[in-house]
Amino acid sequence: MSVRRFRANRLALWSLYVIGILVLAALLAPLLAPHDPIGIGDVMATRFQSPSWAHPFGTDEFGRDLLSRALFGARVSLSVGILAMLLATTIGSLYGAVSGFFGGIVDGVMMRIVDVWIAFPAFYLMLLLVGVFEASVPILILILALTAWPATARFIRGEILSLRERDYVEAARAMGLPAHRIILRHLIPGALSPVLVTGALAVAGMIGAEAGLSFLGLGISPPTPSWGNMVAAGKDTLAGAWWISFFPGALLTITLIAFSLVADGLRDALDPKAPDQKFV
Amino acid sequence: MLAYIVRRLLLAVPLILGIVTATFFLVHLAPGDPVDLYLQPQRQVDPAVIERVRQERGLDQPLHIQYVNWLSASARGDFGESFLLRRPVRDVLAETVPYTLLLILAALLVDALLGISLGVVSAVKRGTKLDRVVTLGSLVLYAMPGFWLALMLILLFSVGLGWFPTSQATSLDYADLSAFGKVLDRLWHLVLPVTVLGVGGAAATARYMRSRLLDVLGEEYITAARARGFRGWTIIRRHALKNAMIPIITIYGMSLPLMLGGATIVETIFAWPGMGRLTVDAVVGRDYPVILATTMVAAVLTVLGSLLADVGYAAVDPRVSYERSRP
Repeated sequence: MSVRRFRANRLALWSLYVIGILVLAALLAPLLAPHDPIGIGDVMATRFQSPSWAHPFGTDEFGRDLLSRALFGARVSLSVGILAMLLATTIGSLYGAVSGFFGGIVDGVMMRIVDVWIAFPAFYLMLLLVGVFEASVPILILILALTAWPATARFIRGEILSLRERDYVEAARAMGLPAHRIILRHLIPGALSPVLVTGALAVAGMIGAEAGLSFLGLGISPPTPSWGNMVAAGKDTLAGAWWISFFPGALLTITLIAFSLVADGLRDALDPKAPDQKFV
Repeated sequence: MLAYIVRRLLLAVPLILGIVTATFFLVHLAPGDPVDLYLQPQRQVDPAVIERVRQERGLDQPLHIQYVNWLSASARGDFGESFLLRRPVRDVLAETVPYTLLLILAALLVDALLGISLGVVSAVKRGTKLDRVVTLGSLVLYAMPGFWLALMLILLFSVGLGWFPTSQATSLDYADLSAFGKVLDRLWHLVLPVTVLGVGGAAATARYMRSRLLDVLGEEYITAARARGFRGWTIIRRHALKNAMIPIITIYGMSLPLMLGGATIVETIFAWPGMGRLTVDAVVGRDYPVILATTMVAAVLTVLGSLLADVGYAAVDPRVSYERSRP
């Protein structure tokens, strides 16, 4: 039923295809990339070439093929976004479920911690963490997840609070199942479908955050390409070589839109709104 | 009402204290000694000098003593001296924070005016081509990363058309301008940064406004108003809009941390002399006193923002009782 509703949403379906193509391109980057993304050849002869058949995205200030760099950049951007989302969702779900299931003082203390965490201006927290720990891909994933999990935790807790009163959970408790089993086998699966929606949105948020940090020179550092640092690399030569910033940023925008649309489609499919009502 | 505000303010204190404490200990988790960073340009430093600097900055004391000292000094408004700028952090903040506030307030204004009107148009014309264009357009703008939008706007409006300046908050000849010229000059420099910062929020507001208004339009009192003979826009203006706008206040309170984050990037791109750019420079240069201070300012602004939103919400919506502290 939900699957059919999702498939009926053309935008969401196309977005899913776009994501599929991007993921595939990222996985196959070494095969697809026409040139070396990092190595530098005859700089003077190859640099600042505008888009052409040989270099569809042009070349950068070191004469590297931007299409190849963008493909390898997709690997970094997508993997950071997806892995950080998975980590944040896992931590957040477990935390929220435990907090919601036990309630009382446990819930009170756990949620006050989340309150402080959420009150922290997120980007400042990221800047702070990036400043404290030298950013590498794994560290960056950890930092993004650390910043994002409390939102998921709070959300899941709300879901669990309502699920907790359902009959099937009551039955599980009456049968004497241990708490961890009820949480993992009965509560979390019940809350999974809204998590799908927040998860899809979170991927967009994470990819955007990584790109923002890399753009500021605080995330993935060159020569390793990430869409964020590729846009940054072109910002000083914008007037003469617009393509250096344009293409990675455009890919980034397309990716973020695709994930948002998929999240939208999932939300509509899982929680259909009232039928259309024409007005005025 | 007053008691409610006071209670919320009292609740905000431990929240800010928690954030500030977490920040302090996170910064001191950092591998490496801040003194090394402080003296970095001159590599071979006499150990006696290192020791003196360490004593001057109180870094030779145990961490919890440092924490107490720092906290009591901060509470008195003394944030220490910037490692990079070699000036009191308080003075640096006094120069930069107003610029960030100006940027954010202007962006919130754009967000509100553009977002609410687009949302209303889109809801009223639901299902038409206009609605689809607005909905899709706001999605694209919402998803677009600010730094890329900023560069594309610079490419189009500064490099290409030459309409707006690429950077700074004022022109070089600002001091020689007349009073009116100064205002114009400031507005002229605000256009692009505020657009970048405000347009994403406006897109979110428009989407939210649209769905809220559609919800409200489905309510019975609207049908009742229609039955009484009111028509189209009158119903929207007199009956629906006010109720649909109430939750927007909450969105606003929550959008402040996003705005602060966005401002760091916008300020960096447009060389805007605000707190965000200061923070980025401080993070790059490991300027701990500045990082601690700007994080504290950002935290206070965030907490105040959500406080204002809650108070505003309670003031507008008669169903909210001041007696309950938590839903």
